Amino acid sequence: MATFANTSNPTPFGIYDNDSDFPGEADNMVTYVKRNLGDDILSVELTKKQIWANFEDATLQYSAILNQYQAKSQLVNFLGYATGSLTGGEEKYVRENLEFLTRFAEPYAMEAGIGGSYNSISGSIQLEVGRQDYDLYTELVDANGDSVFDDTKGKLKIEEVFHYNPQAAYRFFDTTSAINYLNNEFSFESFTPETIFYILPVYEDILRAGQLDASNRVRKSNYSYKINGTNLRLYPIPTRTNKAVIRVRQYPDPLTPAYKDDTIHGVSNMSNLPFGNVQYSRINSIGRQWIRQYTLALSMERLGYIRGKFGSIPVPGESVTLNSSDMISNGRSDRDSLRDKLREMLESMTYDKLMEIQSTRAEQIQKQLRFVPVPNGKAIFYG
Amino acid sequence: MSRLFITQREINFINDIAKEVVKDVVGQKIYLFQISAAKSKVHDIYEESQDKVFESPIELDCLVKYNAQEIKTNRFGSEEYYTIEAYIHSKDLLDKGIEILEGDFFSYGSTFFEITKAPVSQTIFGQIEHKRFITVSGRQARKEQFLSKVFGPTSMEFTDDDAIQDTFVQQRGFENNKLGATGDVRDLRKNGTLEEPISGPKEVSKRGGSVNKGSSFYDDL
Repeated sequence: MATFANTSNPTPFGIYDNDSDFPGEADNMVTYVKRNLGDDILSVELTKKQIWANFEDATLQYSAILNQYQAKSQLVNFLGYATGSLTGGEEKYVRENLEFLTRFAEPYAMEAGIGGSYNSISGSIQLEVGRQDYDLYTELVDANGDSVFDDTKGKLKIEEVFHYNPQAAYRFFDTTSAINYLNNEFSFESFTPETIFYILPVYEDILRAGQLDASNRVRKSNYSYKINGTNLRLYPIPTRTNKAVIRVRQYPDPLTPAYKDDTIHGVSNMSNLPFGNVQYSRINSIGRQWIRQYTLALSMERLGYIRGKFGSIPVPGESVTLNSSDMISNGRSDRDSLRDKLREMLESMTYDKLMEIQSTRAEQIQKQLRFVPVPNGKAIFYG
Repeated sequence: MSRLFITQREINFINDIAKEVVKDVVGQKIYLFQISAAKSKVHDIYEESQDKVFESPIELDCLVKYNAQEIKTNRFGSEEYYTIEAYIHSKDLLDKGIEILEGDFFSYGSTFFEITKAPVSQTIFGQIEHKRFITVSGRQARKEQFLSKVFGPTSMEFTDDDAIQDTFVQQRGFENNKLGATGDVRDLRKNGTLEEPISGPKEVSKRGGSVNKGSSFYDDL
């Protein structure tokens, strides 16, 4: 009699053919399926290979569902990870990381000018006395005099214009001192001789600096700019021929940041998570029983299709109708029910759910502990 | 139905299902008594045999359409007159190498019948080479015409040991079962499409007495 081990290509994909436990279970599965479908009394028109195919299918189904839920719990830790051969991450209890969150924070840092994944470009415009409008796309040049604008990267976005912008430092100490204005005219900076120092916490300094900066920009400074098309309009009208330094950035190409970033080509979603098939020999009794039942359900459905190829089978003098529709509907409903139950069970075991459960449990413990008497000497009593 | 969908594999499937219904579920049978052309003495001129010699009876699985007896009355009185139709699976006959001819006799119960016609009744899904069954029509034979040992089951009115069949054994494509050689061939098994059942032929018999169910069918043997 043919056994799994001595049959060539016993399963369609051969994924578990060399697993240490699968072949033995496959032989038993034939008896399990056939006996449950009544082969002891009347023939079950299923070949061993069909049953083994269903067995493999059931195991793959189990593995896929399991990995889907594992992906729900772990995808965030794998994002950007090398996909490799798309295996190796399954059945692992991985360490958590915050890469996902920090990656999300990068654009905000970039907008704030304190980080991000893209370089800003600094350039300058040579100001001319009495000329207020300058074309950024042609007149903004780097230190070598070359245009900063790269027409392959889309429009320029101005991050900061270092026009003549008085620093806050020398006004920091005495914003109303007339000498500041004098210093300003002579381009002196830093503190003035009238400065009085106070010992203050650092945050006081930071807050005050921010306040002054905003004050200078909004209320006091005449130095500002407007963008009109490709032109930068400076206020007030330049009276000197110095350079206005401008920091700009072009379209941030998400596939090409400023540095070599292999994580862009790493795991991006469930489809390229390195989750291979679960090894059959590592599936416990809970899973194996599910697989047996699922194999039976699949076999029942297949048998229904076989028996249903003809509406009725001619027998001598009569014709008989086989139980095809029962087989199909029962097999399908068993299969769906098993799958739903497994999903339901796994849904309650995602890491998020486990945290919820643990949290609830902790709260419940606290509630219970309130009713536990505190031993004498361990508490302070009033009254 | 088109040959695209009905291949030899489907024919085998249909034949096996038919055999299963007849042999493993229904369990009706007739006993065929074929005329032995070799042993019967044939008249030289008329080429007929006045005293026919029959071969040993052959047990044939079939579905039987048993007609109620007809009462015929004539000047000699009245007599009960039986006719019967038995549907025999063509492939089963072919497997066993049996050809049924008009003039052969068969018994069903305690009555003997002469076969008046035995045409091939239908083909399988219109495929001319695959015959479905033979309808054997029998007319009750007079006692002086044919006389043989009666094979049971016959009737509950009788007290013979085999008057009531208390044992039915499936065949399930096995060469032998508990009752002897079956001659049963299941084509899907023969050509290796399916393997043998996980257990042998089951039986309905009094051997199931250990749990007092009166049938081994519901008891493990």
